[in-house]
Amino acid sequence: MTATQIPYAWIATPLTRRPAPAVNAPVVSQTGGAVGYSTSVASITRYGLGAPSIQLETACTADPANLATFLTTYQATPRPRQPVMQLNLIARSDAECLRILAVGFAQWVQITGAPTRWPPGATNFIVQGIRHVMATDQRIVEWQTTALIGTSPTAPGPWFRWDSSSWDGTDIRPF
Amino acid sequence: MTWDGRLKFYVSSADPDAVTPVWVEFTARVMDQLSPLETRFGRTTELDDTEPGTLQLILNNADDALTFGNTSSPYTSWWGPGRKCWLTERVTSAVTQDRFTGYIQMPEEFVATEGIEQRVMVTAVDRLGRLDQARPFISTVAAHVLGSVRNASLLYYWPLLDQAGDLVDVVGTVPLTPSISGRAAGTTSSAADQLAAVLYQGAPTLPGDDVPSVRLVPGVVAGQVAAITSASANIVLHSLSSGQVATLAGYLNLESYGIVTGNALRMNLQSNGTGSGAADIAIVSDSIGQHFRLNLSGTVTGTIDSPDGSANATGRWYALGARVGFGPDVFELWVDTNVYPGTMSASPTGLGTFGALVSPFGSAAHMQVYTAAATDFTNADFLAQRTVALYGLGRQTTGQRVASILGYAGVPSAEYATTVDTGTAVMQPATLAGQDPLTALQDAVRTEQGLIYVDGSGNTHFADRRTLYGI
Repeated sequence: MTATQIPYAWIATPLTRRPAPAVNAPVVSQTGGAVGYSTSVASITRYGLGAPSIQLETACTADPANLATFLTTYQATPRPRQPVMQLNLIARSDAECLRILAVGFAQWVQITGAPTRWPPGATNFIVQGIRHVMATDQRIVEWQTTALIGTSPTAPGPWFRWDSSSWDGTDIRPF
Repeated sequence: MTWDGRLKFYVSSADPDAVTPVWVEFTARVMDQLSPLETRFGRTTELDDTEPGTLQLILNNADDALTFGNTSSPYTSWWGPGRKCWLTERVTSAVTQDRFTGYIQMPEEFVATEGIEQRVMVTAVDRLGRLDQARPFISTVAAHVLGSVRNASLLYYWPLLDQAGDLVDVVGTVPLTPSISGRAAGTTSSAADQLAAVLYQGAPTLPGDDVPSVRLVPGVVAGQVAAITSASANIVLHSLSSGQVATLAGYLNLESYGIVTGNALRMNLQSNGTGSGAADIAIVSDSIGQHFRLNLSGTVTGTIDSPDGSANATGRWYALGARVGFGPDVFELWVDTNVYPGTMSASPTGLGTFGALVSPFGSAAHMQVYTAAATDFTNADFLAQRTVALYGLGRQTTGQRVASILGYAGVPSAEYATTVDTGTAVMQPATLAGQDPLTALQDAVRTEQGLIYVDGSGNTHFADRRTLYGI
């Protein structure tokens, strides 16, 4: 996965930043089967309870526990992010507009040239939703974003791979 | 409209599901100076379900052309909710992108000054929104039956399920009605007996289905047999031309074969344009034991005996099919995975189908009559349907499930064939009864922890977690 790089100067202000809520006690159910729990007491104590309920139609009885563990492992700590990021296309050149409009769902975006005070995680995110506003005097693209999942907040993974990872290594075993 | 030709907005005058939309441009009516056009797609967090994408805009209606129900409007024959719409944006002189393709919801009309300041606020939803408003599935197997039809070949389809006690024909217009008769004596019993003979509770369910079937039991008088049959008032002859075949398909779970001496599943046939006849699949008992037989009666006759059913005809589901046609002269009995060909007494010169009858002592489900070219409902289609009836889409990956649901919901394959990831999670058998297609899709997407969305061109995408995580 490669990131689309968007310069910091393109971001419309005001910008709202709100960390992703902690997920520290998910309840994941397999329809007609197992229920997976995973609890991070330290996270609950510090950030309060975040206990989403998720229903899976999976055939694999291990999936609920795996997903619950995955969530508390990588989402029990709030991750910096901008839930919504706006870009004003009227101020951009044709080539710049094309780069912004080429960003699709599930795509990794990296903000370049951000102030050093920005948390590293806030400059990297995945696009989950897109809103377009179009009129004579305005052309706005707005992304709904979520934080990356990885050992570093600035890159996804590294993911566990059979041909290169080891069981006692640090590579992430994804749900 | 002052955006210098950058955006264009069209509404199709054709049916929303037409293969080729007929676009009528409404760009000049768009009042972006009053309210900008706005599209929304996607979701807020990775644990949310994707909401249907939306488009909002305001159209000028000073001439009342978009006033719904205005018979003097040039658009009166087609304008209204449900129509397909399309928004494009010219990004550069060389690049134009589709920004939204969807379906108009109920338009809202504003009249400030009659004939001068009149507007219509249009909200449209994308394919996901349309699937959210689609007819719920009858059952998992019914979804496959209805979603796998090619070239309108399915003439009649009676699901025969325990759902509101209905025996309706969901494709044609021939409902079945309960009846009970004493075959040997030729007598009929009371209406109360007839209703009591068809039971909607306690009947078994096909292993891959999620709604129990109807159960037929013998009448209170010895020798009486329960049946559900098409009423004569609803019988319509459908002539088959050369090169076409009539195919009967259905499922039986017999409790006893001794009582059924005649037909268990019947497709009425008129051969060579005259008289009456039928293709009956029966379980018969003779010198070779109990077995399924296909009997063709009428002007052209024939019999096919299969060895199936001898050892365990009762207490299990059989998938059964009968196929009769001319030019080529086709005469086959299908029992589960076996195909038994037979010969007819003469080459039929014409065939017609008109109704059905079900009379086992036991349960029947998903009775279908196809009349079309031999390639429109083949034994391969029958076997694929049987697989769903046995396993209910179990062990599909999430991507396969998404593709199945989209296909069952009638989405053209071109809109998702190359945009749906395989998926990594393996799913349980589906339980589609009563679910709308979007709910069924979201079950699969949630199981994957993936993402589903519709792009500006109207194509449905499914990103599995390998794509989302960038693995």
